[in-house]
Amino acid sequence: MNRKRLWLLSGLGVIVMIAIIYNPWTLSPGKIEPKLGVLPFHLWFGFLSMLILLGLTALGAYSHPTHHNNEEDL
Amino acid sequence: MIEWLMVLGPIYVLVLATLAWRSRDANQSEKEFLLGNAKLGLMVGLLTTAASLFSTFTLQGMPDFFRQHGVASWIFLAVADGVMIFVIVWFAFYLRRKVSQKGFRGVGPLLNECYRTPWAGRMYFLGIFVFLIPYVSIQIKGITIFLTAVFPDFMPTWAWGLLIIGIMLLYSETGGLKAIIFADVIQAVVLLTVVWIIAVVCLDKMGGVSEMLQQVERQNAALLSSPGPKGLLGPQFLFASMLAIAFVPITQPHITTRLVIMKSIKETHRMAIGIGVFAILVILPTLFIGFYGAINYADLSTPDFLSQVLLFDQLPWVAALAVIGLLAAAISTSDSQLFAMGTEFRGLFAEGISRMTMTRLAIVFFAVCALAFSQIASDELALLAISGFSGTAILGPMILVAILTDRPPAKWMIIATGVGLICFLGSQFGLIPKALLGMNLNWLIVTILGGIAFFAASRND
Repeated sequence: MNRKRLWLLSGLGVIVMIAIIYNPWTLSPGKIEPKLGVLPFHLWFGFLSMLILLGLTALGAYSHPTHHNNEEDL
Repeated sequence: MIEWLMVLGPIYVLVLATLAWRSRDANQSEKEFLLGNAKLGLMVGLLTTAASLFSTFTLQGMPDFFRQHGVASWIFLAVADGVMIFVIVWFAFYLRRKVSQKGFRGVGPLLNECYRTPWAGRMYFLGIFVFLIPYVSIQIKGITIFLTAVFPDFMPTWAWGLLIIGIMLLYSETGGLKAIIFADVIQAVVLLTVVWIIAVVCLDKMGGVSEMLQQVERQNAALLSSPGPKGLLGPQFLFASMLAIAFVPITQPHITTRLVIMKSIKETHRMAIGIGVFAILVILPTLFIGFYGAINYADLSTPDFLSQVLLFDQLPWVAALAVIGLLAAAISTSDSQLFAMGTEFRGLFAEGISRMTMTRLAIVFFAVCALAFSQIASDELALLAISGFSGTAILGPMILVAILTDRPPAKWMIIATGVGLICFLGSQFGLIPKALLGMNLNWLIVTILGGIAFFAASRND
């Protein structure tokens, strides 16, 4: 897969993540189950979301079309 | 604690003074003073941006937010930061490309070049003045609450505020952006160290993560889910807050400037990833501190809770370090924002041989305004911060359409932005409802302006 497609995929991934995170079903009031170990749902889901977003940003940064370009001085 | 503070405090001030003096010697030009050396490497760029982003709002506001609103506070800030760092990667390319075409004397002047009218920069400046002054003021308020608790009856809060503003102005006016950046590096390290030391102490007293969560569940189970006991952190509020935070690199001049002066686009991308890691490292401990407060100090006021957990429940040297850490956090964010406003002022309004003098006076004026506002601002640091971010987010569509398009956008975009700012201000003073048509007003305004921006881009002047 070429870098441009990876870059577009990472952007799409972030949009999908926003839709998954910020909706009334995921953020149902009082939703504690299912737990991950001792962590209530909204907490472990929040941790996982942040890690995924970080991963997508790293992917996007590496695959960005200009990531390996040289630039002129400011 | 006082003895430790007498040792650590002067050391910290001495370090700031040394950095400022050394930066002053190296300053060769006005551009050096206002933009540093414009070639920030990864670590310096990361730490200065992190220090500017993560302020007293993090070390004081977030523990209290976790204490009052529970686990969804992580989604409120950390997850929103996760979206923000992707925005940095995306936006930095277009920003740097535009800067290479038109030069950079500040975001306002850049907007003037893009729109080909001085009103774009003026609207931008109005927005950042109205919404960043309160944000700077809560930095001051946060630390003065603390210092008053440490030294009761020693000085009134306004005098503490004056002292902090004085320290800030002294080294920023002496050394310029370079001094601020060097100070930021130290302050980021201090902030991260202090917050983790306090968090580990709190976690130890609670008996570990598992025991902490069980105690929280027994104390107040509503803290373990959205929207929290006070019903604040529901989907709409969290989404609107995420938008406000995601727009920070676009609308807040002190962050935008740092994207411009990074050495290369590659370093900027790496810096964004670093910011994400830093966010996790600095917000996670505030969760532990906040839940410690929820278990032990659920009924205390915000200032009393913070004084108790950050000072009186810690070893003396840790408490002294906490004061230094808070001071560092407040100063690192405030100086960056005040300096950025001064730079914008210089680029937009100060012409002629007295430009630097006017810039310096403008910075002093903004600092005084922030000090004055801090005396009347509420203790809800996190909510005030989000109001500030939400207000500046309204500038986002106007800025984006200028940066992303090659030809001048339609000038009525500036007017539309002004109307949006007025509406949002009206909602803050209770003149307009904070929700309309079932939608958060800020979210609604940004969405409408986004639609208008689409047409403004296609109908170039």
